[in-house]
This record gives sequence, C-alpha cells and structure tokens, in this order.
Amino acid sequence: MTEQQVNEQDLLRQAKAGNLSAFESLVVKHSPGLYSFIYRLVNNQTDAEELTQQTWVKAWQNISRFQERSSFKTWLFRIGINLTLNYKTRRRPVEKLAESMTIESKHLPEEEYLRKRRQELVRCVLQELTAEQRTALILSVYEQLSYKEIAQIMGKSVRAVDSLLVRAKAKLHELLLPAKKRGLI
Amino acid sequence: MKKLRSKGGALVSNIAKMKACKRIKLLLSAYADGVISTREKGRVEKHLAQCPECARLLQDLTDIKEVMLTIPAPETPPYLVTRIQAQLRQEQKKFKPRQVLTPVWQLLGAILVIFAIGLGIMLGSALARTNGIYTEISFLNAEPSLDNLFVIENAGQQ
Repeated sequence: MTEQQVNEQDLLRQAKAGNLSAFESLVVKHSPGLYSFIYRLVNNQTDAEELTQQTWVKAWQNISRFQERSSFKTWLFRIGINLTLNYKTRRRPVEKLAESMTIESKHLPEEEYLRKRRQELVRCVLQELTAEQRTALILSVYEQLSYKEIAQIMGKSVRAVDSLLVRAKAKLHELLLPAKKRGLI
Repeated sequence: MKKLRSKGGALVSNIAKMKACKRIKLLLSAYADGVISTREKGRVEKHLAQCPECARLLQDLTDIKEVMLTIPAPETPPYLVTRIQAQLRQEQKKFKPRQVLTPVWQLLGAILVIFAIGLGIMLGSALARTNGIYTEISFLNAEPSLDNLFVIENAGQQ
C-alpha cells in the first residue's frame, strides 16, 4: 500500500468520524478529476459545477455508509453518475460545427485549426450517444478504467458494459463517417 | 442451371461472410481496448486478415479514440473547491454524518448489554429469595390466630 493510499484511508476514517476538515482534504484531492469527468458527460460548465457540488454534498451525507469495498474514487464517481443520469439537464441543441468554432480559432494555423475542428466534432457527436453509452465510453477512454471497474461504477455486469461500449463505438463511427469521408478525421 | 448454382453459391458465401463480420464486429471494441481472451483474439485476427471492411472499421475505431484523447481535460474553475467547502460547512450545520461505531466499540457495547442483563437476572433472583425468607420469618413471628393459621396453611399448599 502506497503512502498516498494510507493517507487517504486515514482521511476517510476521520471523515467517517465526522471530521469535516479531513473530508475537505478529499474534496481538494478528487475535485479536478470528478469535475472533468462530469463535464465530459454533460458538456456544459454550469451543469458540471452544479453536479460536482451535489456529488460532494451527497458523499458527505453518506460517508459513514461507505464500506471501502471499492476505492473512494469509484464510490464518488458512482454518486456523480447517478446524479448526472437523474439530472434534468436543459437539453441544449448540438452546436453546428461552424457555429461552435470561434472567430479566434479560424485564425489559427491550418493544422491547429483542423485539430480543433476534429475535437469539436467529436465533442458534439459524443452528446448524441445515450447517457449510459457516453458514461461507459468516457470511463473507458479518459479514465482508462477496465471493463470490470466500469461495471462496478455503473452497477452493471461486465457483459453489459461491453455491449454498451460496442453500441457507443458503432454509433460514433456511424455519426463520424461523413466527416471521415470529407477527410476531417 | 450452372449459372444459377454458382449465383446461389455466391449468395450463401456472402451470407456466411456477413454473419462472420457481425460476430467479429461485436468483438472489435474489446479487441481495440485489449480486453479480449487469447482465443477470441486469434479469431478476430484471422478474420481481419481476410476482411478489409472489418480491418477498416478497426482502424476507424482507433482513430476516433485517438481524436478523443487529444481533447484536453476541462480546467477546474478556480473557485469550485472553495464553493464546495462553503456548502459543506453549511450542510454540517444542519446535518452531521451518521456516526458509526467501530467494531471494537460495537463488541464492547454488546458485552456491556449482556453483562447488564446477567446482573439484572442475578439481582432479581436474589431479591426473590430474600423475600421468601422474610415471609417465612413473618409467619414464625406472627401471633397464633385463626387468620394466620389460614394464611400459613395456604402458604404450605403453594
């Protein structure tokens, strides 16, 4: 067990005993990861901030129930996912690629401009997946979790996660095909 | 007739190929993520060597993943942690997380309860015995009368 893990376990024990300062140390440590994960799920800063905040409040209220069968991060992300899936985000229309590109980015060198275009395109297309497909894909690609870990976080079987990822990738491929034909990807 | 038979053969072979592709496409995601069994990996690789369409799909999946990975992680707003901490302090005022006893304290609590129950039983039976002695003494000290005799007789029957 690393020193960091020991430290986290110690903080958890104190937080469970009602020590808010110890819990706040966990907030400092895990907030960037949690925020960026939720941001990628909802693709909106205001919603991501709100959901990150709600996740921490819920975690604090239930910290005594955390039985340490999984890592704290897994438990925290699970709360975040549940809140995000239940959160009635104002459905924003997917930005058209041309609109999403700022004037500033149009003055970038060609290679950089194309890279940004590709990124914007993928970001928009990701929002076309179902919430569960997007969650599984983000956990797999960005958090680099194994299928087993994703299953644990999402409360699903490994087989169900595999199936979600197959469908997510197939849909992404289908949606990005026109861009691929135009040589954008 | 020969032409028809060859057309039929081609159709059957096309259907078989489509079925094989469908099966392999289900494994391609896990293959691209490197979470596939050795046996299935062999099957996928054998198929990919013969099927340019599936090989292209695998390349597309890899490209999509690469583009996804170039998207930088969103920056955490600088005030977010402070806001969370402030909200948690507010929460603490109205709500304290449920305190859970450690197993050692739970065990000690259980021992204490058992001890208290045992003590109660012992004290109860001791008191009952003492009461019995007092009853016998009061009978012995009582003035002989018909009423007392009746009570003593009843006590003897009990």
